[in-house]
This record gives sequence, structure tokens and C-alpha cells, in this order.
Amino acid sequence: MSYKHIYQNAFEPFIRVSDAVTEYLDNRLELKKFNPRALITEAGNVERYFYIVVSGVQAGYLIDRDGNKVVLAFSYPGNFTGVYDSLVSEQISHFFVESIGQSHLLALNKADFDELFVQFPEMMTWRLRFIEMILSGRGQREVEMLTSSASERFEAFMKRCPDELLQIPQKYLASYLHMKPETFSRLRARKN
Amino acid sequence: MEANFEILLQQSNTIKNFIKDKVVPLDSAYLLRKADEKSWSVLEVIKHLNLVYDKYLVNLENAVANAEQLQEGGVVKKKTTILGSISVYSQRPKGNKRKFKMKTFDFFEPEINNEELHQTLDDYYAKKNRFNEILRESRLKNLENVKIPTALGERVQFYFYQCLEFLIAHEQRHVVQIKNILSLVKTDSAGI
Repeated sequence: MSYKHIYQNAFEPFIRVSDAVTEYLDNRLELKKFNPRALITEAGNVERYFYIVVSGVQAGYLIDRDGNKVVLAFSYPGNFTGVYDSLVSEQISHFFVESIGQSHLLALNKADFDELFVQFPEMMTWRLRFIEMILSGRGQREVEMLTSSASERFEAFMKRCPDELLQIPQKYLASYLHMKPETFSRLRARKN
Repeated sequence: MEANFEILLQQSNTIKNFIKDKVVPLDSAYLLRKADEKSWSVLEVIKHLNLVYDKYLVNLENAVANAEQLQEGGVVKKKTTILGSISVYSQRPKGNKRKFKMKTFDFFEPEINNEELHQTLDDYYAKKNRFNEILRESRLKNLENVKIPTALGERVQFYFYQCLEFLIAHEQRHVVQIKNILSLVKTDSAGI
């Protein structure tokens, strides 16, 4: 079964995927299934795959000094996921990626990921834009975290939040927004 | 969101990657050499870790296999005892120093010959992978009240979580020991 439409949709906001790249990915992407709460990537290990989300929602988090999960990012269908910095640097990841419900991901191993840019240098344009998007997203989040109140963060998140994320346990969303689950629940009830 | 088992998994992965990246590639002469007659070689330390895993792994695996699945949204709770906490504290190194010198039990004394090098390392990986699988599965099980016998016998037991915590702290202690041995045998490399 080809997942061409999935990865074309993922890449094409950044770059048009040529037939040759499509064939390359078709031959190398591997579909992986993760059960609810399974760990896709574990902190302390090196990331081995670059993933494209077919179904499910995933949370990227780290453990703070008090032993609590701090959610930093979510991914959902059509997104890329995994720990990109660990993948490219081959250094140990500080982050976990967890499948919140069941997930299906298309996985490209490190060797095939690297080879993609050797065989198809035009894909470097995608890579550059992808990194720019990550940087811009991290910057926006830092500004929100440091300058906005809990209710402002909640409002901003609800405006841009896709439907998939509204289905997951709210403790993940509360952690992402850096607030207690009770606060998140109260703000959500007020909005409804 | 508490992340008790994830912390242990991160620490366990870090130890495994230390052995893989810093110990396994070394010349066998370094792994077999002792700083002095009374102390252990690196390989003897790893053999000791294998013996300790032999004592605990089956009981831990049986406990996980027999435990009930946590309900959706269920939170893993950990129970501790004062004796368990003291045991963990006494094992856990402070930075690069082992807090206390201690003598191991006779049945944990490693006996090794030079031909066992690869077998000892392979055994370590196999046991480490089993231990990490226990950690992964424990995240989703109700093991709060489960007790595991210590090396002292059935009459002295750890609560499940604290047993895992003890084994990690014990291994961290021996990682410090390995670093110390390597710093000594590498500077005093006559005869290698």
C-alpha cells in the first residue's frame, strides 16, 4: 500500500515532491504501529528514525528536576515527528515521544534520511524551511510562555488548536500550556 | 504529570549507552586489567552487574506479568520504605564519587577468565534489554503494592518501584567505579 498522499501532503506546504523523490520514499518508508502510551522515542537513547504521522496524536516531553513530565510539543496526522536534533546529531535525546492513543507512523531510518539529501539536493530546500518552521514555532512559544497569562495562553492555543488535540487527556494540554490541569479545566469550562 | 518510570528508563538508557560507547570499543587489555590486586577489572564489574540482574530479573518479570493493567488515565503510584530509601541513597553516587565503600556479598563476587569477555558483554546487553522492557511495561501496570525480595532473602523486600530505583542507583555506582578504573589503567598503561 502506498502512503504517497500522506507524505506528499506533509512535504508539499514546503516543496513540491518530484516523482523520483516519491519513488525513493515509497521504497524506504516503513509503517510502524504504536499502542496507546507506547514510547516512540526514549530519552537517553539516540533517535533512529524520521517520522511522518499517518494517524494518532503524539506528545514530546522531557522530565523536569521534580520528576514531572513537561510537554513541549504535539504532532498529529500530516506532521513530522520524532526528536530531530538527536537524529541529525546522533547525540542522546533529552526528550521522550509518546503515542497518546494508537498511532501509525511512516518511519525513515537515519541512513535513508541522510541519503535522501545526497540523491536529491533540491530536498535541502524542504529541510531549510522545516528548520525555520521549528525555530519560529519555538520562538513564538517562548514569547507566549514568558509574556502571557494562563488565560491568554489558553485562548491563543484554542484558536490554533486542531480538533485532534481536543480529544486527548487534558493533563497533556495543561502541561503544554504550563498550567495545572485544574486551571485548564476551569478555563475550558468558562469558554464552553 | 509524574514520570517515575520514565526517569528510571532515561537513566537506564544513559548507562547502557555509556557501556556501548565508552566501554565496548576499548581494547580488551583495558577491560581485563586491574588497578591493583584487590580491586576489580572493568569486565569484573560488568560480570557483577550481570550477577545482580540474575538475582532480580525473573522476580521483576513475573511481577509485571501478573500485575493488572492500569485503567485509562490511571496514575502510577510508588510506595517506599525507609529501609528501601536508605538502600537507594547509599548506592547512588554523588557526582563522580561513590558515597560509601562497601563489600559485596560472596555470591555477587565476579569470577571471570579472559575468554569470557564477549560473552560477559553480550550477557549484559541481554539483561539490560530485559530490565528496560520491565521499565516500559511497568508504566502501564498497577504494581503499587507488589514487593520483590532483596538479595538478603524473602524476609527483606523492596516495594516494586524502589527495587528498580535501587538497581539503577547500584548500576550508577558501578559506572563511577568503571570510570575510575579506566582513568587508572589508562594512565598506568605499562604492560598493555
